[in-house]
Amino acid sequence: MSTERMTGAASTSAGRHIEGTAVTRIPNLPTWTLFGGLIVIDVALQPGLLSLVQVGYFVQGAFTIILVAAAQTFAIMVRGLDLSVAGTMALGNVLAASWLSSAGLGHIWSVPVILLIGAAIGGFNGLLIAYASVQPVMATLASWTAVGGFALLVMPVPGGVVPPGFTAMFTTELLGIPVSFLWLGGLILLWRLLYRSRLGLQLRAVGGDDRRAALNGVPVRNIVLMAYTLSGLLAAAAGLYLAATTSGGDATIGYAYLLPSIAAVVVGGTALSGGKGGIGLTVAGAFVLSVLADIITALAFAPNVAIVASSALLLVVVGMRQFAERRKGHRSWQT
Amino acid sequence: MANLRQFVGVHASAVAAYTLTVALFGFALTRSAGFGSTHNVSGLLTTTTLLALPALGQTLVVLTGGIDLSVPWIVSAGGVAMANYTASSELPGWLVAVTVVLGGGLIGLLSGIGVTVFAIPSIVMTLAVGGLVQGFVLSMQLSGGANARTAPAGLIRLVDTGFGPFPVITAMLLVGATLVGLALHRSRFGVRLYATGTNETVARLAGVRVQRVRAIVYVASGMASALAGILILGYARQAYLDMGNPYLFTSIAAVALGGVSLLGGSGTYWGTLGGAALITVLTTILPMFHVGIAQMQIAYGAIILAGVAMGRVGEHLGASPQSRTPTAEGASHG
Repeated sequence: MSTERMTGAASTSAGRHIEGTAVTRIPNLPTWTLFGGLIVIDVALQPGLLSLVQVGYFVQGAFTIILVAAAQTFAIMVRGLDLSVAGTMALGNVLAASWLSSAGLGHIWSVPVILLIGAAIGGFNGLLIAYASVQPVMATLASWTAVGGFALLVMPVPGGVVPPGFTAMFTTELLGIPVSFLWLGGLILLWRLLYRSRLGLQLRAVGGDDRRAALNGVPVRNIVLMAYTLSGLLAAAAGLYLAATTSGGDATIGYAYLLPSIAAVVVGGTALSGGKGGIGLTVAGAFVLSVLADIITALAFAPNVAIVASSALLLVVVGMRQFAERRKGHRSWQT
Repeated sequence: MANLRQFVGVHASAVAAYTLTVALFGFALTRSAGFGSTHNVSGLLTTTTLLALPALGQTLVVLTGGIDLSVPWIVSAGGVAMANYTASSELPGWLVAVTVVLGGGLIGLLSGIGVTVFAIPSIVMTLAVGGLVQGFVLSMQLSGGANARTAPAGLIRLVDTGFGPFPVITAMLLVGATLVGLALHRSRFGVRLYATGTNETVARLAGVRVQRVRAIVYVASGMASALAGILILGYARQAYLDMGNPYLFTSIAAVALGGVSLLGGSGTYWGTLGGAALITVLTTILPMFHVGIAQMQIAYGAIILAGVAMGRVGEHLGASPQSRTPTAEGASHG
């Protein structure tokens, strides 16, 4: 057990200060360097990108990955993994596409219902993991499978419609500012509030070292439960958002987002060994993946090259991180 | 007493899988006489064989405490590559097949190196490798012409040949399963593999080259999945992009149903075979009750969860102590 882990559990204001500067800011550097470099390449290839509207579209496109990766961040922060984001996202997606257009639930009221369903799925995972001591991978694999089945039940073939008004909530401009900026700003603001709250500190403490956290009076099981519940909620939000921006539902859409969800977290710099990082970094990681895909499209490569590139980037980054962690003598995350 | 309990804990679900398979088959016979026809039985056995291959790789990986999420894409790659290369090259079909299977092994080796040398979690590593393979499959699909997707005639003949209702490929699978059984239970490699899955640290201290064992299982999984892809191509007559998709959930469900502990270290391939047979019979029967793919997938989820639960019960009954991962600790010591 290294001293760095202990600071994660030290719930003093000094400990918090150390977390904020030494541990989370320095790992940002490679992420932002990578991000900056890719942006320069992308803008050099297509100078038209440098307009507020174009950047707005870019953020709007990247926001799906941002949401599902934010979901994944919570699970990884408590040293787990949430495979069920793929299923929950698909379920949120098809429920939105089939409920929002029908008058059954009174349109907009289905939004909180869908988010609650996502939170309930996440809560189920959390109960299995925190209270029944099931391995995170196995618990979320099982719920991914089952929830994916429910999504197919709701919508066997892709389809459905979303009211234009709902789509507009995510795609228009407000006072000349693309509304996608506001959603992104809102997400980051909520995360900063959570990060500075008691719950945020406890999340990092549990991820850093759960035994020490427990000795310091942190209700470890409840925090793990909370992390997976938030993960489920955000995954459902990702499905909902995708339904709004693509104006339809597809029960099989989730699998395509599983790899990006983990890749964005890892590339962003949140450690697989838990405790460090957060959604701010994940947003950067998701942008890196999106800019990479954009560059590949600009170079007129086939879409499959983007999949290969993001997989390769994930492997290189995770390989380097794990290698560095092991050389530092950290306990590594293993399945 | 402890041994008996351990035996029950480990083998109960395998025995249950075989019993349920036979019972469900008998039940289906009472509903529809055609269920016992040569044609139908042969179809059931072929489908079971096609599932048993990716499930073999999954079993070996799970026994070492990992999981292989690249299975569906390697299956697709095997089928698509076989169709493409036999159409575009003059090489004999068997040589192409051997090359494709070896290619699957190479993909598995990549996962194995990531998991061992770089200590990347198996789930992240195999998911990323799956992404790489997906890109490869897509590029082949884009470059190949319309004819490049059809199965070679020789392969179709091989998959269709049988002694009465008993397909040749099922006979080959049984020979293979016997060899795997010998390797797992009668060889040094088997002892090392179970030791690695049970407790990696203890195995390493006992002189087992843990990393080598862990790398080998991913190579085997890649080869088994590629071979499955080739045979599925022969059975379906056509290669298509997502032909491997169903095998992600079903391969893990077969492993769980067969009583292989999803924590690693205990279970047999014979158990997985029982699980594969049960899943095949279930998939065939459920449409009789108007149960579709969606409900089946929900059932797979329940099966995987039940498999995990049974593993935990087995643990409490005194089966081998499981290696504890940091992730599991996060929850169990709270």
